[in-house]
Amino acid sequence: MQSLDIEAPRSRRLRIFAFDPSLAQRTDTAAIQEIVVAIPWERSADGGRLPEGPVGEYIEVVDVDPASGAVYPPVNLDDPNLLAQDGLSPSEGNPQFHQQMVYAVAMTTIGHFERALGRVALWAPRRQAPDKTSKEWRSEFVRRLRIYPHALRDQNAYYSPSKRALLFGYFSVLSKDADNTPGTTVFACLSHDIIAHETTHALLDGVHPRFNEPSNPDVHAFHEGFADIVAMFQHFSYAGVLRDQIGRTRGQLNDSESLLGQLAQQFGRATGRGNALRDALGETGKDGKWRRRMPDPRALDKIGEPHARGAILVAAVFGAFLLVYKRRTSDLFRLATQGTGILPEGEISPDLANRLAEEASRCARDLLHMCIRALDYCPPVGITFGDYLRAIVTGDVNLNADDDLGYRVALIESFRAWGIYPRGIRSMSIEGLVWPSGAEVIAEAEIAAKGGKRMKRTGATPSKEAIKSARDSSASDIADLFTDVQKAGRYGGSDASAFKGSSRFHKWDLSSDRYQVWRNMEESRAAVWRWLVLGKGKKYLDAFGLVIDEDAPKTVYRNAFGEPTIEVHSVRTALRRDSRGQTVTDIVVEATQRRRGYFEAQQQKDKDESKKPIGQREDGDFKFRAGCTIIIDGTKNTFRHIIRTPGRIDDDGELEIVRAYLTGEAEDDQNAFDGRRQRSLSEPRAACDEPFAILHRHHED
Amino acid sequence: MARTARKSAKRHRKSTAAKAAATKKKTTRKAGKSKAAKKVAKKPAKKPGAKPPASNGSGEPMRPPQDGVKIRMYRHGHGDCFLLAFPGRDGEPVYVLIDCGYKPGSNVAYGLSDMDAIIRNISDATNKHLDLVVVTHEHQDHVNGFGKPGTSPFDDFTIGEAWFAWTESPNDKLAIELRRRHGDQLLGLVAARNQLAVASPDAVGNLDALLMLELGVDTASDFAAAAAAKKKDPQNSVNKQGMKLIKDKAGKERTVYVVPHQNSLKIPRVDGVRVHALGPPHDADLLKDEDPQGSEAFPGHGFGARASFFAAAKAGPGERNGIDPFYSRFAIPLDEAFKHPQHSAFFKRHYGEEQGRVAPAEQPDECADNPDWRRIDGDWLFSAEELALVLNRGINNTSLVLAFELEKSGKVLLFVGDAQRGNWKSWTTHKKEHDKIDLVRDLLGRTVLYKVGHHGSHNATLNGTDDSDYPCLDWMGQGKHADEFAAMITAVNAWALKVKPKPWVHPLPSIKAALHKKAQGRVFQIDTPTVDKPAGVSAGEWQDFQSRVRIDANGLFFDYEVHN
Repeated sequence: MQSLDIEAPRSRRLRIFAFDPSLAQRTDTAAIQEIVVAIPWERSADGGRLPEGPVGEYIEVVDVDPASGAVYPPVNLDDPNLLAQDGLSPSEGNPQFHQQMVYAVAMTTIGHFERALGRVALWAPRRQAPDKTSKEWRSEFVRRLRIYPHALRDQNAYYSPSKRALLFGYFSVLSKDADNTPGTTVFACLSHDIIAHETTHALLDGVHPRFNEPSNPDVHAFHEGFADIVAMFQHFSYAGVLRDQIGRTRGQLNDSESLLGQLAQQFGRATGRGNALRDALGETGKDGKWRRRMPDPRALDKIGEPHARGAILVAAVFGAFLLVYKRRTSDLFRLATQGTGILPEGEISPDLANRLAEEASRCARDLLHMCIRALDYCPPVGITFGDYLRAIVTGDVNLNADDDLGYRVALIESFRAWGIYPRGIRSMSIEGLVWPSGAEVIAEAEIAAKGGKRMKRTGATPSKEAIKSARDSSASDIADLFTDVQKAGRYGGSDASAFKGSSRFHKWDLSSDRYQVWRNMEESRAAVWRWLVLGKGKKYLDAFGLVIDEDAPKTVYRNAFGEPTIEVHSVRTALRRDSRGQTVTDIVVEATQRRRGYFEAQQQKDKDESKKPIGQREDGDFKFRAGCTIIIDGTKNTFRHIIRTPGRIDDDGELEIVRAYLTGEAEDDQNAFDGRRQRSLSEPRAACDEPFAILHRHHED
Repeated sequence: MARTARKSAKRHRKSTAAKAAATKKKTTRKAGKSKAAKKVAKKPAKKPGAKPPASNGSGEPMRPPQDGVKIRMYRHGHGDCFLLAFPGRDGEPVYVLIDCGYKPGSNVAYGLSDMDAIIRNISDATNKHLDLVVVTHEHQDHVNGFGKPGTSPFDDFTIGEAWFAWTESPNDKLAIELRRRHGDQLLGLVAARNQLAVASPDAVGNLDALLMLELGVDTASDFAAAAAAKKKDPQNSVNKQGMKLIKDKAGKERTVYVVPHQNSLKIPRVDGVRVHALGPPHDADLLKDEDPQGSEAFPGHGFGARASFFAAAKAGPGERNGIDPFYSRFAIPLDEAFKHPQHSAFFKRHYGEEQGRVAPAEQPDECADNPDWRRIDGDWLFSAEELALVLNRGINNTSLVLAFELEKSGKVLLFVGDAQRGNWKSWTTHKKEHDKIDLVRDLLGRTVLYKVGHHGSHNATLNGTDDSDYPCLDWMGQGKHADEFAAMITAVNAWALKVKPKPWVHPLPSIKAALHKKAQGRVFQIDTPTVDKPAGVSAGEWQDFQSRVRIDANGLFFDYEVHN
């Protein structure tokens, strides 16, 4: 049926609400209420039409609404009538449009991730503990994220890590004011920002398995802030909206109220705030005037609640955006004002608006991709905002040696203004912030090993020669990982059962099937683990900050042979093109160790020093994790960076910091009965404990 | 166990003491098994099998100081019960009872007195006449001691006057609307709870604990009946029956529904004591959804947003309900989805029809298209727990907040019930009250005794600084009153931490620590038998406090005097 000489289209155009339905009801914003996004042209597995749902390669929309006792038939986006008019027209009353919108927005977010990270996006696999049917841990590939657009009757929407699904709520409005009509229903799944935000949570869960265990106040806040950054910058990538907003604010994004920085408009209004739910960039004062939120270097000391703290991260990144935007547009303003820099009264010329929008859109896209790419340069657990800044800077230095547009400087300036800085760095300069190279870390570890305890304490700077020799000597060991089959030795079967015996590292992943990509990643995980524990990787354990000495504290988890275990969580390949057009292949490895933590310091001490081993089943009060992210340059066979957590698994001081945080009291988002902090977002404590549900519920208390 | 204990309480009124002792013996034996009981119980009386505190020994009438007030804080479990004695103008003491309730299961097992002993003590102390009864709000742990008319331990008491918050008024339009919403939401919550119990039985624990507080019954099987009764006749719910008893005894004429900053309140037969009501705020705006303060203040707030949830909960599974989000032409009923000629294939393949029936996946280690674990049949019901919390907070915020001012010395006793932040903030910042900021600041500054809000929980004692523009702990006990400032926490921490599945952190360690610091150790807590002098406080200072404290030999109560 398909014509042979016409290629399939590259993208599918779908209409969505630019923000949410509320804009359509205001004359000043009606013009930009609807936009068209282009997403990849998906086919069914056999090359046929896109299945109803839609059920694509990444997303499946299943519209079941148990509260209403109803299901809503799936939309068929390949219906010729819909193809010819960019999908259904935006409508609050037609659930099929809702399906179209969640699909389109989620796919857009996924697209940003894939472009920034240089690999296909994968959802968190389902890991199953040993049970009746199998004695071993099993991993299941989850091809599609499921989206339920009408799952809840609540002012809420969340990513459910246990279901690998996004659940959106809806509720009816009874209040009567300028922005709400009683009796109408507000749908979370029609808010562009909420969809992008929740999809980001799901993508993040797919990248980092242990990333959301809170060991410091920044972890949950980072998840919230990062998801908002993605939602906000995704907005900036829509040209029409940007042009309109830039025209309206006369190009001055920093001191006027613009819709772009406000997330979740309608949701916020309907829940009675009168303003967007999370207005990170500024707020409307009692006099009705909007003011930009000015940087406050002490804000982090005062704010602990994850959303409010996350908003600081958003504000810091947005601050950097404004700095870059200002710098990039200063020439345009000079041209438009004959050098005075003062715009005449009235609207700005549409040409100027277009050019400004173009600059803003480019800066937003670059920053968004820098922010996403940084995910590969973070320590494997316990992220802090300061670490994240280092990750952004390092990721960017690797890709763009010169920072001619000043992104990195702008980020540093803005983060510093917000009081965000990493622990223990020598300076807030680019050199100070870039994570040390692998060779430096290895050379340092060698000195420390030779120098004994005194050197460990004082630290020593290795010589250039030592660094070079470390780099040279590691190349063949890395090559060994890539080329040799890694044997399981006596550990055969105790890890990654699917790859009993031997396993091979998959360095070049050009496979187009995401299942095969995942499968190769799993096998590479096994190969790296063997290389670390049995192979040539073993000599770098010190540098990686991993401990397998038997005299480590007894509370460290151990294998059947009584040795501290190492978990390789993730091995990912990133294929990127640098500023000179060269392809860069990086392999990102995350390895961690865990240790039982106890809320009582004395109990910890007793357990650490206990004579007999601790039972495998005993879990302690919390888990303390430490480890490293290793970034390997796959072309040059070097350790590009070794990013370690602040302490090793046997570091009692770090454990104490985590304990103090966990046993401290929770922030204002807690209720009047429960005062303790939530332990993890990925492990619900009870069936009804959806971790993100609690975090996302619209709270006033 | 709780039910047995309560039944035994009823029986006791009519039966012999021996029978009652036998019942108690049984309860105590159980208690002996609990670790906490061993820890807390220091007195020989609490040893397993031993005789519990006898009728109490302190059967004498309670005597107020000549120039002040005596506050008796009962140690009867997790809940509030205070008896105040003022010198009357005719020389006879005047007795004021503030609340009488506890969480079942939180007393005997933790080395505390059972309710019978407490009520006998009230009876002996007052000779069965209470000049004034104040009921702060309608939660179980503040009212269940009153029992039901006819079988109540207070049946043979006489009551001079009764004070309730305006939210209890039978005529106030706002109060009527609040009660209607409360009743509706409770019915919805119970319906949601029962559906959830079928879908995931282990998910209802937190919800049940909250519903018990609201409904005043201790077993889930009684929820539905209790909620229905409440809806049908709001004045007749289990919690309200105790309140009704008080109203009946005081009589219509002498039952006062207090509106803050309005009524001039005097305790009957007492001179030189003025009572100021600070909350709950009386303002229709607080019921409106868009008022951000309302969201913290009242049980009806956000009613609209939740209406669709409750409607669905009440409709029951499979039943169509009136407020569907879409026109029916867009929807297929859930039970027809798997038979639908056009769409059944989609829903069978991508959602799944029955438990355990799963399509094979493409790859052996790939997840199937329709596994059970990805379905969401009951997930929407999980919202009920949050809604119950909101409702609970709403009712806490209807707490009547009273400041008793001893006019001669200016000292103030502050009883806040379970008021949480919304109520606290309204004392000064709500628009009707904003001109009262000086008065409230002044009253709090002169406060020498603070009954800590909501068992010392998060958000029920506000943290702030002297400069804060809302009432907070730092406003209290200023100047010379700082040296006398004391606090009373009505919590049994070991019991609260055992609430399943989520412990109640009562009191919150940081609030407790802040209180101890501010009061320099002068903090009473129900589960703590003594008040010890902290290091760093001089013996002289402590002596002044100590001289005004009497700890009952049987551990029934603390007596504390404040002198004018």
